[in-house]
Amino acid sequence: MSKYESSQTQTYWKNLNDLSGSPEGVQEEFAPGYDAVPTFESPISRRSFMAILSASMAVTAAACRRPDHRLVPAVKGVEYITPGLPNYYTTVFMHKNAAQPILMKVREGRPVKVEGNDMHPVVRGKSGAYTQAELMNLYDPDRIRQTVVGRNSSDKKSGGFSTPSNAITMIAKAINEAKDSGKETRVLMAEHCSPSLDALIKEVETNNPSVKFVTVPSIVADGASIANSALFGIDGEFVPDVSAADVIVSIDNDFLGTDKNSVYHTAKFASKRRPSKDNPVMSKVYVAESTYSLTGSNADIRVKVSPNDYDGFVVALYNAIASAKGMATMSGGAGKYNAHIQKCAHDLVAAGDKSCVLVGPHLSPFANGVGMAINSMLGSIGEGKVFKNVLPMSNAKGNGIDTLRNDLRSGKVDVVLFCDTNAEYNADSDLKNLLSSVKNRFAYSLYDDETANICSIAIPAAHQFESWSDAISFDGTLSIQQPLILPLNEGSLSTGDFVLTLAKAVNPAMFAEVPNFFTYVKTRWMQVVGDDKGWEKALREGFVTSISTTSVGSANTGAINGLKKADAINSKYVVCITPSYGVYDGAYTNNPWMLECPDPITKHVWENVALMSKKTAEGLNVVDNRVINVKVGAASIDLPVMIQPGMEDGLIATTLGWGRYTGNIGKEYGSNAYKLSKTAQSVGYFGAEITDTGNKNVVARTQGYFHYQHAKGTEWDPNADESKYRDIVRDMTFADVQKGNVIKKQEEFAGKEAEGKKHIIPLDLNQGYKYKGHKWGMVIDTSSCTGCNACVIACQSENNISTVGKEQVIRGREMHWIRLDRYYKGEPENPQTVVEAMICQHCENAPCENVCPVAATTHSPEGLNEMTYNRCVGTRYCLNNCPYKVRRFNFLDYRENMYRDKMGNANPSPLQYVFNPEVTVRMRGVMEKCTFCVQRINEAKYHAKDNGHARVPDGDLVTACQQACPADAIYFGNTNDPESKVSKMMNSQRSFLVLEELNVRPSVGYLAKVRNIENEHKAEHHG
Amino acid sequence: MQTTAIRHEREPLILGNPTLHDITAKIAGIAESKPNMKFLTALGFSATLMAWGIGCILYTVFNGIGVWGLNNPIGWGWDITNFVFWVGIGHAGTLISAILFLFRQKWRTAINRSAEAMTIFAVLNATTMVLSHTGRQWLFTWLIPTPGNQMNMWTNFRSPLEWDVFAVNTYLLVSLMFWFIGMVPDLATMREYVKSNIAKKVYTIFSLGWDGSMRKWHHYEMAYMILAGLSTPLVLSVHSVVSFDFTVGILPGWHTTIFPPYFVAGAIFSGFAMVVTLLVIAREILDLKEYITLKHLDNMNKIILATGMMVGYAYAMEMFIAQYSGNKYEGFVFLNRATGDYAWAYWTMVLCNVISPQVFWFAKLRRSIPVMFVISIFVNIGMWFERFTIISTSLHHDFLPSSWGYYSPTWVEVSIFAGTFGIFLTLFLLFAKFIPVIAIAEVKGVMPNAQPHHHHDEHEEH
Repeated sequence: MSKYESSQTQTYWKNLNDLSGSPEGVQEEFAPGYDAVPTFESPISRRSFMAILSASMAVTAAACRRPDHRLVPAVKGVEYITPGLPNYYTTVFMHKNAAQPILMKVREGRPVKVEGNDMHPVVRGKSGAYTQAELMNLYDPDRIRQTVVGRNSSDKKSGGFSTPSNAITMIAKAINEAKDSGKETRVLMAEHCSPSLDALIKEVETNNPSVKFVTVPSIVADGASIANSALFGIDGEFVPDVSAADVIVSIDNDFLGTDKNSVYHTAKFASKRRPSKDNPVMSKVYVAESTYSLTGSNADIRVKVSPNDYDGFVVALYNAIASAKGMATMSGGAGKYNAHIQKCAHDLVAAGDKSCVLVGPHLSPFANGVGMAINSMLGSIGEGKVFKNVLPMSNAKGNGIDTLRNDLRSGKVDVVLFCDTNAEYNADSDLKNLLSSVKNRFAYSLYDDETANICSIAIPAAHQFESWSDAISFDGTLSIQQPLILPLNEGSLSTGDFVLTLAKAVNPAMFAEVPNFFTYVKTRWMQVVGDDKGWEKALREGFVTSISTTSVGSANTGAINGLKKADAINSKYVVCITPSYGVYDGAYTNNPWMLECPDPITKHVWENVALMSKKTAEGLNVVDNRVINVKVGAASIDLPVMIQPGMEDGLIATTLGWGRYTGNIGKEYGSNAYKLSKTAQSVGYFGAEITDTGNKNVVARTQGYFHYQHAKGTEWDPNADESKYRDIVRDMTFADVQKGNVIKKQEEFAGKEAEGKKHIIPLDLNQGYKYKGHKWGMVIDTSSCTGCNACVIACQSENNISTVGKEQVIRGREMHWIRLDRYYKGEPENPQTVVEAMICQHCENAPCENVCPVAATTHSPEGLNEMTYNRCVGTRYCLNNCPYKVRRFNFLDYRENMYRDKMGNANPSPLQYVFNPEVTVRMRGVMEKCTFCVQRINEAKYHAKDNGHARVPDGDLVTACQQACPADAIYFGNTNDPESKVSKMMNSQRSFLVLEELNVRPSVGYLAKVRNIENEHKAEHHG
Repeated sequence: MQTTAIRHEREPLILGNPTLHDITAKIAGIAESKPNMKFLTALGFSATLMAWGIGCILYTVFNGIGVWGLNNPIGWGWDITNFVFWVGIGHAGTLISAILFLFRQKWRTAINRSAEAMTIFAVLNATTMVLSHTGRQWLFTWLIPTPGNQMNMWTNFRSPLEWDVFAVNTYLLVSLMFWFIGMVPDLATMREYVKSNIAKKVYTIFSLGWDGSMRKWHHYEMAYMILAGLSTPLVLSVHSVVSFDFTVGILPGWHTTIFPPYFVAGAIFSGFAMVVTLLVIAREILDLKEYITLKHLDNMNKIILATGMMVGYAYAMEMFIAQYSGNKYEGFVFLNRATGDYAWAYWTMVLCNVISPQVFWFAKLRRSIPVMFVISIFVNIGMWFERFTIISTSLHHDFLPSSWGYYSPTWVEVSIFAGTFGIFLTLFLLFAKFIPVIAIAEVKGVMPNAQPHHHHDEHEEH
């Protein structure tokens, strides 16, 4: 409570003009007294409204001027702020060291929607769930709102408020005092890919020998970097271009899931996963893994591998290929997987340089080295091949962390500064102990997190959307990070500004000519962009192409033998720790969108669980929701059991990022798996002891309440009668596609009731209605869709969809408009997966429409099934009668979470600024569902009309989900136009309608899943 | 004469051969007597239950439907189950009053008043359930088609819920009129009988100036018969329309043509069971054993047996058709009812509705008060589960397995259901206290001494 109380006296929502604390003489963006967004303390009276009205005259003259720097809007849209119209600005978001160039939609000075930068050569307008959800982090009410000084590490409420400049002076004093007494300072940095920040740090380090910056990432997996530096002299991870490969072999490399560049990989992967007869191109994907990852669920052939066998597996694969090519083999291959390895090697050799072997960077350097040796042998390294790009600043971090450990242990460090790192949460206990014994601990942090709580000074960091910086992509493209809003919290500094200000305070002689980090960045790139015009162009487009390139030489395969192999794990149980598909490393643990974003495979939300195979659970004598204790070394955590098909027996998989104890939204959900791993190896496999605690913790999941759902739609029974199968998902093989086989369009309903009829229910209320103008429709490709959740979060952000919390999800009341239905096929030991994105089908003969007593859901003349919120009385009849069950009812006032705190008091939380002003926020008692982004449709229609078109040109209109989808699996448009992309897809070889036999005539078509397997091939099964 | 012979073989409808005054004194005297402890205890209990239930409805209104256990696949649970349950209960009243009246079943006279009262109270409960089940209860007027308000929109006349609004309200209004018109002569009797001035004034107002003249009797009889005629189709229509809520849906387990007759039979079944439950209690508490005789109860039990077998047939038939049709969704839903997560509800229903009434094949058991009381309770439970099975098991596993769910009620829903019993019992007890619980004028008409000429018995009421 105290935080809220204190905050209510603060104007944390800042006017765009006054943040930087100074700029006198700078032209005001708005007239005095007018905030871009009204603050709570000053409701607008009639008088002030008149003032604003007259001020708007001045606005037109002075519009779009940021107080200290001019922001340059993107090419897209209007250039100046026009009330009611959005502006678009390019910027870049650094997801760790992976740059995600974005285009931010800004309404009246307020960022409201993240989209990928469609001008950028790498992302092409796409964005993943994390990037989309970053908007919620920006408005997080639990960010540090004010600088705290004099905090006692044992009492987080102690200390007083101060200004950042005071705090920085105090830190500088401590650093200088340490230096004078012969001690040193360590600054713990998070991963980033900003070349300017890197250069600044190097400059600071050079000039202050007592200060060292150490990158301590939350997720460390050095295997690939170590191997690459031995083999190629490149200390970094490759970013493969999987679209250049016809055969992709992933050895425990979740490149579609937890990889930092998964958005890029998904796009490249999907480009070869949507074959047709005319375009018979399809990659073949082998995945060897122990847990069931998102990548594994997209495999054509998935092999279960024991965690101890990875080195042997890679060697065996190497040997198989080497012997096929008549080259020398290595010793130590695992023979257990021979059948698969032979097949896999055969395909790899056949594909030649159009192939790749991707080894998980958390596996041993040896495995990674052998993997790259295979790639070298196949010829897939080099320009135009799979391996040519290197992730910036992806060097091995383990040594730096070990050095830090030793320095701390030796007692020569007197000052430790946490620069947006949360070591108290994610470091191992040894490092935590060492850090807590340091004399002075200071934090510069976005959140008042675990680490900030034990530091004597905590300075609020500016969010990346509030900062000037730059970032470099793996292809050498530079993006400038420009702020989209002034920092919400008073005095927040960007990382660059913080380091710069601190350096100046430590040594006033330094950087005397650099007023701020913006100048530093701009000066740095001036010769690249040329002049101010070039700078503006870079901001307008969001990138500068290829400022650097990496050339990869040939592999020194001899170095492999010097690489470290994996330590054998001898315990009966092995725990596998990976980043979470929801909260990643903990960066999204206070972000309700990501907390409630269903795991793409298990569909559980709001916590981490212990995934295990049925056999493992039987061996432990536990069932779903039973809490087990997982012990690695001296540390242990409690996790609820969740039985998951496709898991290696004896393996328990869990995820990082949970079990936080700060952040009002996400704290105390799940357990902190960082306790089980080491800071220098936070992901991977660890020997564990498992004990049954006897407790129960019901896990919330959005699907799969009833066992695993098999593709046939009832409980999993491989011997069940085929005629009872439900054809709700369809799949075909690549060979079928090449032959031109067509998915049966109209399912003949087998049964006496339907004799002579096509449909179970032949009646139709609006037979023969002709659409004269637009008729909106969508097609979803289940083959290229990987299930990555980008659409789910994009939809949530665009359409103001509420999150409901764990208890409500257990009750079955999640509100997502897009439900990624996951169905399994084949044996439970190693199933295949299909993801079918289920949204409102906008049925022509909609069963929901005729049953609503108040006509709150009706059909539009453009084929939309429209929901009129303010007409809805909430009988829920439409929900009951919806065969797809895609309607979502506001059982409680979920939007109240945005307006009120847990005590029910009005809580002026910045969270409500995350709402899209173009979409109504729904109250309780009202039904809602996918609208096909009707606000975007209307906007596109206005634009078309302005441009003199009678119809919206195909491609001008994209829905939020389609816009985000990295796999381009969503097609949307006017199905009344036979030439539109969506019409063509609707009538293509692989298209089908879900539940077509019901005669509801959905407007959403699906394309069948294609598997690149032999026709007679049954589910791959390893035994 | 043959009729005379039969008449002599039949049991008398009134026992103890009371005089006309005895009857008046007995029935009207209930209103005059001081309420006894049994009555006060019962009233106190039911009024508390009612207050608790209404409190829970208000709790729902202020917090949202989320305080119930409903979720995304299962939009209706106990709320609509209770609604259909109470509408079903409300069927027996009109059936007894109107149809049995038209068929000249004289045994109805002793029970028709309370059966009609039960109808009205049950339908009020049904209305309560339907009004409180919506997400925004305060907008209930939007369900009523009035031009010019609510955004200048009409209601959706294609929605079965809208048909429900008409069917249930019509039924409620006609039943209320029928009940009231039939009561006018008795209210006049009360007016004459009571001593308190206030009571006299109230009865005077409601007796509409009845003076017992031939002319009044003539109009009364006409009006009563017309209303009986009007009510008769309603008995069949209300529950048919309620069943349309489900049959118009496309859900497997809902979309069935058998529902209208099956629902009507079920409604009569449950209605009669509820009448038996109430009358067994009422004749005990109000000491009306001479008026509500074993013969009445025996007749009702026969109807329970007959309608019970009708619903049993319907259960068997829908199960058979679901499999025979080859519709895999339908086939699955019905198998799932019998074997799935809600199998316990299904088998409770079968046990209570099909198996338990079979004891009524035996005259001895049919006339045993404890047996019929237990069976009538069983039938009420079974019929509640029938509605629950239809609604929730069809919803919890429908077409797409990914959206399947499970539903169980919260304490709020259970409380509201208990509260509807509170409403029902409170109203019934107040009715029994202040309104002639037995139709005095009609009962007088079926007394042996009211018909000295047996061969005239076809016409004596005219």
